[in-house]
Amino acid sequence: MKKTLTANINGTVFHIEEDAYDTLQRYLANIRAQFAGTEGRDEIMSDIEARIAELFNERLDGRSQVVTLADVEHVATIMGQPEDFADGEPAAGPDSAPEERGAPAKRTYKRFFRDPEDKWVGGVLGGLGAYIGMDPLWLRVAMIILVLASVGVLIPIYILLWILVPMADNAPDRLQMRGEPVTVENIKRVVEEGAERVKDGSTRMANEARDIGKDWKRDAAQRKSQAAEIISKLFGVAIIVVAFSMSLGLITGLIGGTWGLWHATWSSEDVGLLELGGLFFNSQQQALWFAIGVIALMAIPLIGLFLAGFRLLLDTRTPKWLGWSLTLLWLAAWVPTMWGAAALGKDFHRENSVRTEETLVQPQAGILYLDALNVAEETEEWSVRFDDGGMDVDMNGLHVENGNIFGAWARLDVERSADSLFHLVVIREAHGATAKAAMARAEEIQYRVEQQGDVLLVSPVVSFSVQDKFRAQDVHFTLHVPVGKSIFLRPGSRNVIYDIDNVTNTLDDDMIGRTWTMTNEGLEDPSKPRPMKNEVIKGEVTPSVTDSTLSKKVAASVWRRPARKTAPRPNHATAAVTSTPVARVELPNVFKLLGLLGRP
Amino acid sequence: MKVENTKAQMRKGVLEYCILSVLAQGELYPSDIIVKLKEAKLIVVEGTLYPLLTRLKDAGLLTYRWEESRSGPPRKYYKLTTVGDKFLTELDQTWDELSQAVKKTTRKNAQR
Repeated sequence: MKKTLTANINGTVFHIEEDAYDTLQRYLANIRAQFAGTEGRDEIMSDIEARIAELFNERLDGRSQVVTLADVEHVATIMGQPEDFADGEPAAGPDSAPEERGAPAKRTYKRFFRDPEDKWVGGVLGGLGAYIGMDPLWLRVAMIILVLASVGVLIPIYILLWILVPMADNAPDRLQMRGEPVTVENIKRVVEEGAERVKDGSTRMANEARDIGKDWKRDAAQRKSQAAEIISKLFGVAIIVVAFSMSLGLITGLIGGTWGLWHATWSSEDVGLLELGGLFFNSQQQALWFAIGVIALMAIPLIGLFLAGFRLLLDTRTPKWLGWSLTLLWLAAWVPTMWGAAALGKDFHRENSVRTEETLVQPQAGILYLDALNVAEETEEWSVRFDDGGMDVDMNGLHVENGNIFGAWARLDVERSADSLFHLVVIREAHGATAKAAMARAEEIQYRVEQQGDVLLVSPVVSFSVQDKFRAQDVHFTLHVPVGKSIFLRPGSRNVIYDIDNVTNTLDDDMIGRTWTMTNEGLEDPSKPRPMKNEVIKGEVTPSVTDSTLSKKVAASVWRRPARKTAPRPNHATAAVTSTPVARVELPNVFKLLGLLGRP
Repeated sequence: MKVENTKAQMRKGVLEYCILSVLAQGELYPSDIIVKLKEAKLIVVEGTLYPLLTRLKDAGLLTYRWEESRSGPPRKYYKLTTVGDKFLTELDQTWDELSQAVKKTTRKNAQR
């Protein structure tokens, strides 16, 4: 059974089968294209149509009244292929390209048209979808995403295509757009129409653009549903992207965190990750459950996001039981998390500190030499990673031995002494459920300070009992230096000093290997007086030749000799003590800022 | 240079001349013209004729009138105008000269 259409050809009505109609339609359109720009095109076409009607009549005479594909092909054989119609150019003869004679060739050739029946703006993506055999919906989604992702170059490309690509506004064009077989004459046609198209394209595009509003109103309902679909797809993409980046963050965080903790405890045989958890929580089990709870709380919503994203994007269905069990799991994950967090929070509730003072033997020359106790020597089996010179030792040096936790996080600061003596004040801090418990913990903290003649050795390592757990135990040393007296920072002191204030805002690392004298304003290096008021501040404090002999490399080598008990006495510093500082100038804040900025 | 192109060029000029000559014998409608041209093997497909007729008509060499047909819609009957008649006479002369020239110069005739 075949569907027939009615066609009026030159005043005669024919019943014509659908495929025959399409072929004839395409045939006529292609002939018409041959006469693009020819005067009297309409007349020629009506003559040709008249002849075709005549031929049909002859052929149908005495037969059925339905024109078939065979009839159309017969007519095409008599009339010739569209390229034969070129003005005044008769067919080159049956010997030329015989395979193109006869009915429409079987060659499949697709053309890129804009699709007027599936268009949002100019129909470019609709046509492109037909051309590459893809649902234009995806192209629109991709276009919106790419434009939003600031691949803005797509917009001018779109407009260019809108101008250049013809609208498939008749049946044969639409067939061609979908890749129906068409003969080679189309290539010629494209070339011939090209120039015309560029000329007319802009005005045509402007007209079409003006009509978009109308079209949108007309197709509002259909468009609305498609828009909803596109928006849901966009949401799907966005959700998946977010979920993906979040899970990436979670995974790298887990791996990085685990690795970091493992690294911090790598040298210890008895402190694994779980043991570390046990040092924070009441028990290792609680730590494990807390970790499981936290990971589940983060991971389950991510799984949910992925499911939602895929559901929006691909219309997949998530089974109900999956959603329910995920929700239940997530709610359940709160229990161990809250249990652990509450226990931890309770024990961190109060902070307290203990202040003690170490008795110091006052240095004879008025210079106290500051150094650190060698950590590696003290604990033998492990060492604090100080060789990078960095201060990030919060977890570094973490170690459990003989029921004690060791950690290298004590810090030393320098202040002006209230009297004429050096003092070393030690403040030990800890947290606890009550102020009393916190105080008890603080008192349990062990630290080490030694004095060997004029050398003060401070250990960055503090320790406390495993039973005390981690409760933010910390030790702050404050060295009080009387005005007019000095300290010399030996290379080892790099490991204990932290952010020592001085009048030139010199960084800790640059303070090493120099003598610093206490003035009423703070610590000052007399060999490097502050610049005068109108002097240009260079920013960087460059070490002098003398100082550079004690710069980092030397310092590091000194530090790495663990057996050394006393550092060699520097031979240049003594003279500086008595020298009076040059006129002090209050630096405006702006200059201080500039100085800070100029620092490496 | 392709032989097909040359052939087409030669036919192109001759075809116009022949259409005018056919119409000089009387009023005809396209299908009749086609029959005669096909007999002479001047054209192979009919499509070639229509643009030519229109062009000759637009040049004022031909004119047509509508005539009712027994078997279908009205047909266009073409005939020469006076301009076309003069044009044809000139072409006749040119053709005679040309055919003489061809006779004298072509290889097969020269060999005789």
